[in-house]
Amino acid sequence: MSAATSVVPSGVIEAGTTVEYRDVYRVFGPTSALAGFSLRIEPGELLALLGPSGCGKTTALRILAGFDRPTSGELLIDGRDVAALPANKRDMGMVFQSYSLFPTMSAQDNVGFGLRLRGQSAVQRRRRAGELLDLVGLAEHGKKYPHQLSGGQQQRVALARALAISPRVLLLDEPLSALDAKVREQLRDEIRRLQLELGVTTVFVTHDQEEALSLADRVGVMRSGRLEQCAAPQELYDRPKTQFVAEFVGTMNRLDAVAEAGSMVRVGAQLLPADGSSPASGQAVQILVRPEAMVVTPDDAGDTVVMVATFRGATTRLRLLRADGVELLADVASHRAPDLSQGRRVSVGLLERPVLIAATESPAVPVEQ
Amino acid sequence: MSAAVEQVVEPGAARQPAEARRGPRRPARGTVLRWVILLLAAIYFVGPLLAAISFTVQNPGHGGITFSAYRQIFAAPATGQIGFTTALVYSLELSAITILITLALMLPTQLLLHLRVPRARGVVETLTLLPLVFPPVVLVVGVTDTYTWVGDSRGALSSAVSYIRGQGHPLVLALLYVTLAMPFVFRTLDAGIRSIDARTLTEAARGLGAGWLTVLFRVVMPPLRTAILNAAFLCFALVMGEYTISSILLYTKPFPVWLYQLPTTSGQVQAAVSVFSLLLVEVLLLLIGALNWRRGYQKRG
Repeated sequence: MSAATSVVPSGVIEAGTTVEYRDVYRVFGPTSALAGFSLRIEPGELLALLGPSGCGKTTALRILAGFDRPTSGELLIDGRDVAALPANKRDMGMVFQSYSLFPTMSAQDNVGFGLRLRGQSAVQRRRRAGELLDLVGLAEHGKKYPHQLSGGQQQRVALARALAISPRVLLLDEPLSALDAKVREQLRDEIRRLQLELGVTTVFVTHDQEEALSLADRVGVMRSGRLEQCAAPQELYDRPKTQFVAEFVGTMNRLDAVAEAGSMVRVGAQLLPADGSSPASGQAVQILVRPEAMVVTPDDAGDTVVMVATFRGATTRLRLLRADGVELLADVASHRAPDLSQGRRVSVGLLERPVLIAATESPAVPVEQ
Repeated sequence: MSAAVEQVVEPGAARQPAEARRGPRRPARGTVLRWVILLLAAIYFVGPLLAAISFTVQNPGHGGITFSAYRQIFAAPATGQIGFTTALVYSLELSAITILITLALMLPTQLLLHLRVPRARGVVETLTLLPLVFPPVVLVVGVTDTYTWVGDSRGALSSAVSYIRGQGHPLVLALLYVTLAMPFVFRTLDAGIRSIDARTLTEAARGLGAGWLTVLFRVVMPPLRTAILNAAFLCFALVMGEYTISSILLYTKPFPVWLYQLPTTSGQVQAAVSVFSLLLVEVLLLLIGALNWRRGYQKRG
């Protein structure tokens, strides 16, 4: 993208907008897509809604866009309930997964479509469309039709089109899912850059945790129509409030442990602080541990064997098998990987940091995302 | 080492055009077969037409070529008779009304089925198939009974129907043709809407502030131009060729009815009318098709 694209067109976004869902339900026959969904999004914030398929994240976005109505509950935009306001009166800019450019219009006309509906003259539309296409790095492609653009370019035009109307809220419905990995990464960075420059309140729906964690100010993890946890990416990763969040975001090992007095747990010979809950002393529990919190040391007398070592760039992921049949995952710095090759005996410990206590009924196998 | 060297292929050889390596190009067997099939089809379709044209321009008894049969088509009709132009204009009017009503009904219906009530699609599709199930005679009887019932009732609708029927207005016939065209138009538009992801386009436009009419005319209809023109094709061809219903309903102006009732015993004139009407319909269809050729957003690719 050219240096010129960092110039924000004047008056594109006037001010961030507050969005608030209050106990929103959306029921489809016997199924509840949203079941008591409550969330407040601050002005200028980029919030990612993350969750598995069918968790209700897209329904929440569609209700905000005005394409669907809540069965009950309130949706407030800047404090005003807009649940009954039609989509074309909400001033929301939306980018869809499937590009959604109007096929019979050039890129410039696509971007100018919303401006035309707002009564702007052809000259004004052309100027603004040019500015926005420049902003997304497509200044030279204004005359092209959607079928003449690549997927990434089409999605950039869709982004420019959504921004052209100075939306109160920018809605992104899995906009990167249909793109290949490299383009996805580029566009992800561009979205974040534009969002920061423009200060537009943005809701980003995705099932890709990496996308959500790398892009958002806060990530809302959804499950069965409810918000499980909404927090900054680092907090979500380090201090998941529920077992579902812990296992959905990132990778977790489950290890048997015993609760000790003073909110501590004993794992083998190690005594570690428990994060949050305090089970009764002596109670058998399972703890959740990230692969990077595992300490793997070559040890010919160790009771654990390296089954597979997978190079992942800076780190190498080890799949380990303990003598009691429990499988574990561990991430080690790749420069240490030669000492931890397949078949090597190792001993495994944990970093001295608080651990999350899991429900005991789940199987003791690593859950990899 | 030397063996390895011997196996090295000259770089130039790899770049040699495939054609040069294969020698002179010979047409593939499949290509020849395609041309043979095309020729046979051309003979099958064009042969009778050429024979008919040849027959219409023969000058029996004198030899040579004459266009008198064609001149008779355009000759002023006898008093009280319907002329060629009247019949043609009436059928064109009928076609236009049928196309407009059919599209005005089916396009919003299809959009509703795709965007709002997809579960009703099966029921509507079955309903549109009914005109294929019932013979034209049954349709005519049903329609006649309905018009009679409406005409016998009181009110503005009754007066309007009575007036239109009394004037022999093509609207009455057009409404029947709309019914007949439903199975074809429904499927044509359905395929078109499926190909453009109408839901996302509609939502994108709505989100940008478009009302429903803007969505219909500026967002959905332009990419559906091919499907809409195909639907218009079908309506047009149906109206220009339909004889049974208009004849039973005692309409004499539609082109096919006029053609059948042509007040001449000359086989040459009747054949000339057939040839002329066939060519006319073809030309009109080509003109409608030409509207679809200027698809800038595709051609500029």
